[in-house]
Amino acid sequence: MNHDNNPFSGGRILKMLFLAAVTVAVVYPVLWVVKMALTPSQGFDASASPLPSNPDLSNFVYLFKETDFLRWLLNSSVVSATTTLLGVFLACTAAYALSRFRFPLRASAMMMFLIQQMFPGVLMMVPLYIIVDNLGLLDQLLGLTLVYATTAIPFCVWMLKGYFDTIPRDLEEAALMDGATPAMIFWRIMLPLSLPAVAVTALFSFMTAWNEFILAAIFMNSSEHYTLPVGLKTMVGQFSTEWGHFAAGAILVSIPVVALFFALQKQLVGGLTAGGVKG
Amino acid sequence: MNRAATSFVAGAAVATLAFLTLAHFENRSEARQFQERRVEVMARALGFAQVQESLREDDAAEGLAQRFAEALPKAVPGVERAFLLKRNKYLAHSDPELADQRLDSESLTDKVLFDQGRKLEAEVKNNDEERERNHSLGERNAYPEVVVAQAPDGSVSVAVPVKEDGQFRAMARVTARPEEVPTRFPVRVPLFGVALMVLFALVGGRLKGYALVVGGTGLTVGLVLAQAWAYRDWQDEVRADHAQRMVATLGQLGQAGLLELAVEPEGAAALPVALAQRPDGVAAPDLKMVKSATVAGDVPDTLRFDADGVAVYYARGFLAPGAAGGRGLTIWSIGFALIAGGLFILGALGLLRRAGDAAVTHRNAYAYMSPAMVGMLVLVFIPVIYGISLGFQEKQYGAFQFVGLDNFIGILSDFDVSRPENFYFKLGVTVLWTVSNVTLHVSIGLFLALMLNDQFLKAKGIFRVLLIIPWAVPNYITALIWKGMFHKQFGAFNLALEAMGFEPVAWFNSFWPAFFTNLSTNTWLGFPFMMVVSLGALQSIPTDLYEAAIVDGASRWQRFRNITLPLLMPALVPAVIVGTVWTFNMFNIIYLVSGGAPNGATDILITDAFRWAFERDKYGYAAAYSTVIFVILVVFTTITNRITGATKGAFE
Repeated sequence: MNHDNNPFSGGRILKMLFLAAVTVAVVYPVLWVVKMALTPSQGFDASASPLPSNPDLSNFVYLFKETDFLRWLLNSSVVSATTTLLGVFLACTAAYALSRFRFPLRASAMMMFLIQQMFPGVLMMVPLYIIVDNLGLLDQLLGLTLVYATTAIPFCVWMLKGYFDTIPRDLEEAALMDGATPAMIFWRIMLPLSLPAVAVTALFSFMTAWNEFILAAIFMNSSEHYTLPVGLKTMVGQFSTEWGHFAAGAILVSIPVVALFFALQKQLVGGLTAGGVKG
Repeated sequence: MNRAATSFVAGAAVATLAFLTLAHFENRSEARQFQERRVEVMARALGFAQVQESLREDDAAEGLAQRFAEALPKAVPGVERAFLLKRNKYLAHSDPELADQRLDSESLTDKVLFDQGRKLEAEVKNNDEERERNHSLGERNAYPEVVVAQAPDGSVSVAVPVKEDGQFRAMARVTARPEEVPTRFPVRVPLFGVALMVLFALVGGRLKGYALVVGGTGLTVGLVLAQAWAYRDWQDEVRADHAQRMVATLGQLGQAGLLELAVEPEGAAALPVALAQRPDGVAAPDLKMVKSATVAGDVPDTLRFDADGVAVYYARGFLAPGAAGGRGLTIWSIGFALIAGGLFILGALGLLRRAGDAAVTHRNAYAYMSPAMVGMLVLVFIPVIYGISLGFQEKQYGAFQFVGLDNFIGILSDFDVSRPENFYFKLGVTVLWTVSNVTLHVSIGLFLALMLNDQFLKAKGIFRVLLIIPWAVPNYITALIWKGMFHKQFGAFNLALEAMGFEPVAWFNSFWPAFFTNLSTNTWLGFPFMMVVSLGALQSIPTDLYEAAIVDGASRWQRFRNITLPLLMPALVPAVIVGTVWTFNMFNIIYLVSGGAPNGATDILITDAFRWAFERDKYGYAAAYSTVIFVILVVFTTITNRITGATKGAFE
C-alpha cells in the first residue's frame, strides 16, 4: 500500500528494521536448539548467546551410534511415505467425485468430512486401539499407517475439492467429446492440472504422519517399532533430559518438514486460499 | 421371490453378521480381561505374602515372599516372572539370583520398571489426597493403582502396589503368558437366523401387502429378540467359564502349598461370592484375607483354601456371572435391534431397492468415493460411534456396564467451579485459551502480512521464509523446547529477566504465568498460518483498486477499512473457524508445556478428557467428556457457518 517505489525511503527502512527484529525474535529459539545440538554437554544451556562455544557433532554421532535413531528414522519414513501415497490417492479420488459428480448422499458425505475434523482425538483413542488390536495390527507400522491416512483424508478432501472446483469444466467436456473415459480425465487432466494442490495435500498428509505423537505412543510397544516422535520423547525423561541429544534429534526430525515447506511455499499460499473453505 | 421379501432377508442377514462381528470383538475383550485379572490375582497374592512377612516376626514368616515368588512359576504354568520391587531394589524375585539385587540403571527395561513403581506410588498418594479432598469418593479410588502391560509376544504383566497401613511399600509384579481360552461362539443365533431367513425366503415371496409387512416384521423382531437373549446367555457362559479357570489357577497355587482353597458346593444360589474385591470400584478398598470361599456348580474338586499367610483375591463381578445385577439387554443388543429395525424400515419403504438403483446409476461417483469411505468407515466412524457409546457406560468390575446418562449428568450438573477438575472451570479456561490465541494469531499474522505485502520491500522473500519456520517445526518439539525455555533456573526467559534486573519467575507455580507459557508457545507456532493465508488473500487484491482510492483522496485507514478488510474476509473467515477448532483441541502444547500445572488448572477440556481416560482410568467419563466437546464444536461451527456463509459455496 506504500505507493512510492523507492525501496530505501524512510518508511521502508523502518519497516525493514521492524521486520528484522521480529524475525530475530521468532528465529531465536531455533538458533538456540541448534546451539544445544552442537554443544557436547547435556545440560540445558544457560547462556543467552545463540552461538555454541565449542561446537562439535558428538550429539549427532551419539544418536546414530548409541540409540535406535536410525531405526526410528526408517520407521517414520516408511510410515510417512505410505501415509502420503495412500492419503493423497484416497483424497484425490474422493475430492474428484465430490467436485464433478452429483449423486445421492453427496452433501452428507461432505458434511461427514467436515465434522470429522471436530472429533476430539481422545474420543477415538480407546476405540481405535481396540479396533487396530482386533485387526491384529497393534505394534505394527501398517496399523499406524492406515490410521494416519484416514485421519488425514478429511482435510485433504476439502482442500482438493476446493481446488478442483476452480478448474474449468470445458476441458473435460472437450475430452469427453474426444471419447475419453472418466478415469482418463481424472488421471490425464485433473491430476496434472491440480499438481500445486496435490503437493500441498501431500505435505499435510506427510506432516500428519511425521509429527504425530500420541497415537504412536499408545500403539507401539517395542522400541524397534517406535516412530521418531516416540523415540525422541524417550530422551526427555521425567527426571532428567538429555538436552544435547534431544536437540540434535529435533533438528534431524525438523529438517525434512522445513525443507518441504520451503520448497512448497508458493503452492502453500495458493492451495490454502483457492478453495475458500478448508474445514 | 419379490423385492421387498429380498430386502427383509438381506436386512436380517446383515443384522446377524453385525451380531457375529460384535460378538467376536466382545469375546476377545472378555478373554483379555480374564487374562489380566488372572495375573493380577497372582500379583496381589504375592504382595499379600510380603505384608504377612513384615507383620509377623516368627521364623516361619521369614522369606515368605521370596518362597512365594520362587514357587509361582512352578505352580502356575505360564508364569514367567514374579517379583517385589521397592524403589530400585528387588525384595523378592522368582529368579533367586536376582533377589536382593538392584535395578540396572542403564537398562531400558529396568527403567520402565522403576517408572511403574513410581507411578503406582504416586497413585496411592494421590488417591489418599483425593479422598481427603473429595468426600463423595468414599472408599473409591480416583486413580486405578494397577499397571497392566502387554508385550508383543502376548504375555501380560500386571503391577500392583503393596500397602501397609495404607502406605505404599513396594510394587508386586507378575508376568505370565495368557492361558489358552477356546473361543466360544453363540452358534445358535446364526443357525436360528438362517433357518428363519430360509423360511421367510420360501414363504415371503408369495406374500403381498400387509401379510408381507407383518411377516417381515416378525422375522426381524424374532431375530433381534433371539440375538439379545442368546447374547446374554452366552456372556454368562463365557464368564462362568472364566470363573472356573480362575478357580483352577487358584487351585494350582493351592496344590503348590501356596494357597488352600475351600470350595463347598452349595448350589447355584451361592454363586455370587465376594472372595475379596478389587479396589477399583465398589466396596472394600483394601484386600481382605479370606478364610474360605464358596464356588458353586461344576467346579469338580473341593479345595480347602487355608488363608494362613495367603489369600485369594477375586473380583465379584468376575467370579460370579451376573453378580453385578444381570446385564440383560446390553448396549450391543440394542445396537443390533437398531440395525435390524433400520434395515427393516428401509426394506419396507423400498429404500434399499432405490439405493441399489442409485448405486448403479451413479456407479462412477461411488467408485471414486468408495476407497476413502471404506477407510473412513472402519477407522473413523466406527471408532467415533463406539466412543460415543462408551460415554453411556462405565467400567465396573473390570467390564463396561451401561449407566445411562450418569456420566453426562455428572459432568454437567457439577457447578463447583472452585475445583480445577470442574467442567465449567475447564470450559472457561478453554474459551479464554482459544479466544486469546486466535486473536493473537490473526492480529500478528495479518499485521506481518500487511508489512510483507509491499512489492518494493527488499529481502521480503527472506523474511517470509524465516517467519514460516515456526509452522514447519513439529509442534511437540516446539512444546518441549519452550518448556525448557521456561525452566525456573536455566530457562532463557528467567535469564533474560535476571539480566534486566528482575526477579526470576516460577512459571509453573501459579495460574497466569503457566497460562502465559502455553499462550506464548502456541502464539509462536500459530501466527504463520494466519500470515500465509492473509498474504495469499492480499496478493489477490488488484492494485488498481488502491490507485483509484488514492485518486479519490481516501486516507490510508479508509483504504484498509473499505478495500483491504472486506476483500480479506472470504479467505480469513474460514481460516479463523479452522484455527478456532484446532486451538480448542490443541492437545500437545498444553500437555507438554505446562502439563496442566499448577494442579490441573491450566488444562483445557481436551487434555482433561485425556487424563480422565488414561490417568484416572475412567474411559466412560472421558468418552462422555469428549462427546460434550464435540457437540460444543459442532454447534460453534454451525452457528458461525450460518452467520458467515463460509462453506456455502462448497456444497454446490
